[in-house]
This record gives sequence, C-alpha cells and structure tokens, in this order.
Amino acid sequence: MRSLAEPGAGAAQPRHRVPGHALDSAGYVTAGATAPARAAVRARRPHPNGNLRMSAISREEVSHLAALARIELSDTELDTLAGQLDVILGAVATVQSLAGDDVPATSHPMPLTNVTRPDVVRPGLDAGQALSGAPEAEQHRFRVPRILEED
Amino acid sequence: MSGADTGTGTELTRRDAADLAGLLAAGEVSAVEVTRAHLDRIAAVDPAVHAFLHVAGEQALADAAAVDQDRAAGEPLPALAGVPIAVKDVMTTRGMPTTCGSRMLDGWIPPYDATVVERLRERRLVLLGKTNMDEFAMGSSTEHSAFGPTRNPWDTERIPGGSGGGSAAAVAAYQAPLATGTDTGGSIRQPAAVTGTVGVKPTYGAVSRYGLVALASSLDQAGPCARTVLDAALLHEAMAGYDPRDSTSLTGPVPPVVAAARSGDVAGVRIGIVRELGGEGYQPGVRAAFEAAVDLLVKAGAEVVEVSCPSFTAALAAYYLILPSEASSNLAKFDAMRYGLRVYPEGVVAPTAEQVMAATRAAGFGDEVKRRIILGTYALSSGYYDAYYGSAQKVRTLIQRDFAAAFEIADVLVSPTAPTTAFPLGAKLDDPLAMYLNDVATIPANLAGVPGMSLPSGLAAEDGLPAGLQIHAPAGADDRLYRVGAVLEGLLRDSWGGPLLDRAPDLPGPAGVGARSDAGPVVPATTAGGQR
Repeated sequence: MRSLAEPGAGAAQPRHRVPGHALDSAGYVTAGATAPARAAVRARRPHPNGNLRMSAISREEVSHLAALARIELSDTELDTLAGQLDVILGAVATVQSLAGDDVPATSHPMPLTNVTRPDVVRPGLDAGQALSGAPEAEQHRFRVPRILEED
Repeated sequence: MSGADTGTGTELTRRDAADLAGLLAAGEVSAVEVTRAHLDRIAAVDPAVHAFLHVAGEQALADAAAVDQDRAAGEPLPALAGVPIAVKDVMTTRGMPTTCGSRMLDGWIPPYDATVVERLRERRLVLLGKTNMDEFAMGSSTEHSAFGPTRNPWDTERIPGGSGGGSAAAVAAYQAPLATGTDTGGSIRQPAAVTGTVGVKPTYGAVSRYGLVALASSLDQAGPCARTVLDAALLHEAMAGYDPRDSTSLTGPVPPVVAAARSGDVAGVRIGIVRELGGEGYQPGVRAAFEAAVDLLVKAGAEVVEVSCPSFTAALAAYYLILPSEASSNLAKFDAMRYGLRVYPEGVVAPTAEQVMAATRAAGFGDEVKRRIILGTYALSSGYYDAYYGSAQKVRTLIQRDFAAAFEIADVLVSPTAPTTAFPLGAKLDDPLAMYLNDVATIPANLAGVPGMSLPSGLAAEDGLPAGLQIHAPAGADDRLYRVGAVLEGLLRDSWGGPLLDRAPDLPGPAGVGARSDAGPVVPATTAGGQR
C-alpha cells in the first residue's frame, strides 16, 4: 500500500476542473465562487517555498484513507470521492501560502489551561442505562464481535 | 396585538415567546392551550415543511399541564415556564430519540440530557420535539439529513439552510416560537438568514457542549433560534452559563443580553463594515438589503467605519481543513460497539470487530459525512499534517488578529449573513464546494470564537426571498449583538410595516387549522424512523 507521505504524486495531471466553474447554474452564486476559485487556481502552481505542491488524490489513496477511517467504500464511491476530494483539496490548499513560519498555530479559540474540578463522587449512569443503546449486551456487558484474527 | 383573541390557536402560534410568557404569567392562557396550539400547527404544516424528526406530543402536554398546575398552586415559576420550544436533534434528550439526522443513531434514546436540555427543563419550557438537520450537522441545506430534507416555509421547493434548517423552519412556520441550534460554521445563522428569522452563535464556551453530538469541538457552539431579537436573548440567557461538565465552558457571568435587547439605543456605536464580506459574489438583492439596513443604523445615530480583515478570504479554506480533521476524530466513536447501528458484513463468517465497524460505518454514514471523514483523515496524515492542518491553524491565528484589529476601531462588525437567498433543493447537492461557499461569511466567527447574530434585513428584490444581516462582537460581548440587533429590527419593522415573516406565503394545510385551542387530536409521538 502506497504511503500518503508521498507529496507530489500526480501533480502534473491537469484533468481537474476549477471549482468555481461548477457553480454557474445557480445564478449569482457564480460570482460568489470567484475568489475561492481564483485561489484554487493559484494553489495549482508550485509553491514558491518549494514545499508541498498540490497533487491529485488518487483512487488508491482514497481507498487507503477509507481503510484507516474504517469505512467500507464501493467502487462507485471511490471514483466519486477521489474526484470531489481533489477539487476540495485544490481549494483549501490556499492556506499554505498565507501564513509564514513566524505565525503561531491556534488550536482553540479561547486560551484555557488546566481546567480542574474537585474529585468527588457523583451519580453516573448505571449499567442498565449504559447498556440501553448497546447493539448487543450479555451479562451486563457490551457484547462485541471478535477482536483477534483467526490463526 | 391588542384586542386579539388570545384564545385561538392560530393567534397563539403567531405570538412571540416574550408575549406568550406574559400571557401565561397573567393567567390569560394556559400552557396546555399554548402547547396544543403549536402541536396542532405542527400536525397541519409539518407534512409540507418537515422541520421535525420527532414530535413528543403527549409528553409536551403533560409537561405543560404540570406548569399550569404549579402556577395554579401559586408556585414561583421561571420567566419562560410553559413556553414551547423545539430542540435540534444534535442534543441528547432523555426519553426522546436523538438521531443527529443519521441512520447511525436511528432510534437511539439517550440515557441522559444535554446540559442545554436540562436547563430548558429546569426553566420549565415545554419541549415539543426534535428538529431535522444535516447529518451530524454537516451541511448548509438539511439535504444531508438521512430522513429527508426540511423545506423552506417561504418556498417549499427551496432549502431552509443548514445544518439547523429544521429549527429555523419550525420557528419561521410558527410551529414553535423558539428552537435551539448549534453553529460550527454558520449552522444557526445561515438558516436564520434564509428563513427570515433570528439566530445567534454565542461566544465560544458560553453554552455548554455537554450532551451535544460533537462535530468539531473547537468550533461547535449552541445558541438560540427565534423570530425576534428579544426572544433570542431570552433563550440565550436560559441556555448559557458555566457547566463543570464541559471543560471549555466559560466561567464568567452571562452578558446582559436581555437588557441589551431592551436598551433601544445605538447612538455613538461604531459599526464596522467588513470589506472582505459582502462585495463581489454576493447576490445584488442581499447587498441592497444590507446597505439599506446600515443606512437605518446611521440615521439612528450609529457611526459607520469600513474595516479590512484580509485573512477572512482564507477562512473557508482553513475551516474545511480544521473541521474535517476534528470531525474525523470525533466520529470515530461510532464504532458499532456501545450504541447506535451495528451492521454485519455480508457473507463473512464470524467477522472481526474491525470488519463490523467498517460495514456499519459504510451503511450508517451518508455521503457528506464519509467525504469529510476521509478529508480529515487525509489532512491529519503524517507528511500532510503540517501543510494542511498546521497551515490552517496558522490562518486561524491570522483571522483572530484581524478580528482584534477590527474591534480596535469598531464596536461591532456587520456583513450580509450569507451570499445568497435560499436556493432550490438539489441545486448544490452534487457539488460539495459550491455548498461550502454558503458559509463564507459566517465561518470567521467560529474560527475566532467571537459571537455572531443573523437577523432579517429584508427581501431580495430579484426573488422576493429573505436575506440576513450578520453582526459580530468581541468574545464575551454578546450583549452588543442584541443592543444593535434589537434597534435595527425595530427600525426595519417600521420601514416594512411589521415583521418580515408577515410577508411569507401561507403554507399548505387544512383551512382554519389551529383554530381550536381545546379540542382536536393530540399529535402522536412519532420517531424519525417511524415516519418513513
């Protein structure tokens, strides 16, 4: 299985539509798409800093990602998703060109550290409540499919 | 309003929550009458609107009767006691199904209430049922609901916005005076804009996320949906407040939003018009309504300044990396083991847990959810992490800085809420990127954590559909939204000769429905799964 850490795979394939072009049937929305669409076009060019170039996401990569995400996908879904994800990634790649190394990352809107509470006993769910939505239960436990491969 | 026959159901469903609270407190109507009127309205129009996934008719009437009993006994009751409310199906409700618009949770009845729901029950609001939404709150049209789309009460061939289209449509169609929403990238504000209603995303952390099915934890925020700014403030106050069960919950007092909604003064308030939100690409009628509304604020004594937030143009891109990344992690909990759907793969003898998981997620998730989980998995992959997720987080910093700089010279920022009015159902379903563009003006607030409100700005001349105006305030200054919003609402209503919703066409349904306040069938409890 091919690693996802292979940047640039398929970067030369010019088969992708520009996102904004798909919007013309919806009247005024066409214009709404222009800014991101232009940005997407920019993103197709090699990045001046020489880091990740925009690449097509291949069907095989989507298949690998789906396996990582534990989602079984049909052949049709793989085909559709590969095309759609490629368009979306083309549009969102603009983030790479905006923030330089001097800009710190923000993971959370509010700066919060070390939120604690007193360690006291409080009522929680009883076993019956906790199991009330279980697909299968047995002896007050979740019953699950086997977790080991046969050998 | 004066002299109106308060006893008829139709009249009751047209009343705002503040009016209903007054009538109930004065003993002019009973909570059962009010509740029955809304249940009748739901029975009459929801076949056309499909705002609800579940209607809890019997429980609602029982809860209303209990309020009436306590009132008759002279017990002190909270301000909104007996006022009906609809709850977005993203919030867990004890004894009521919670599906989040997904087959994955079809029929799930949570064993606990979300903190928001608990607070509503404590304040004795009457829960009418659960509203439709895009699956796991991913979407801008409710077309991604596994149980069929909600329709816009202004034109049932058009989208009501999303993800909280059910809550917005329920309020716009007079099925409930109030509803709850959650807003991760605009899911309260954009539906409000396209349905001619009011919706508020409070400051991040203002309302507890405990018991909300998480989409993107650093962006999600619950808030009120209503028909008036004052009603939104009343519900905001009821929902907000510190909760030790949410580690991101704000500890300070709730800003004085109700007082702000009643203040009626914007003299000297500095209104910043965001250059990057509202220019090219926005529908002319949306822009015209926005500009006319700003003119009214100027006449009322507000100062207008233009501000520039250059990083906002990258907000959409950053959002569609951060959101899928967080969502792919949050939705890993749907593993077919502890709750929700379990599907065994076909033709596999003694399948492994992993195979069951993959088969379940294939069957239980819709296309948009799969798309975003895969996108997030990609953005978090080693080798791509810095280029995508890391860069997006830096853009988030730049957006916060833009807001901070803008609030140096303006007290609030305004823009159109959404680039267009409601589009036809199906118009963007096959083009994810086009769908994402609906949230271009609402996303910056989520990335920065600041509060935002959408209120009706008028009807777009070219299609006669409602447009929304958005107000932003600094984090923690939610009251400014209500101060400016309420004044603008009053000025606009004067210019229109009444609420914008008065111009919405009548919905199909039995004539005179809701005219009975003391008879008629009780809406039976239905579930999302049972409806189709």
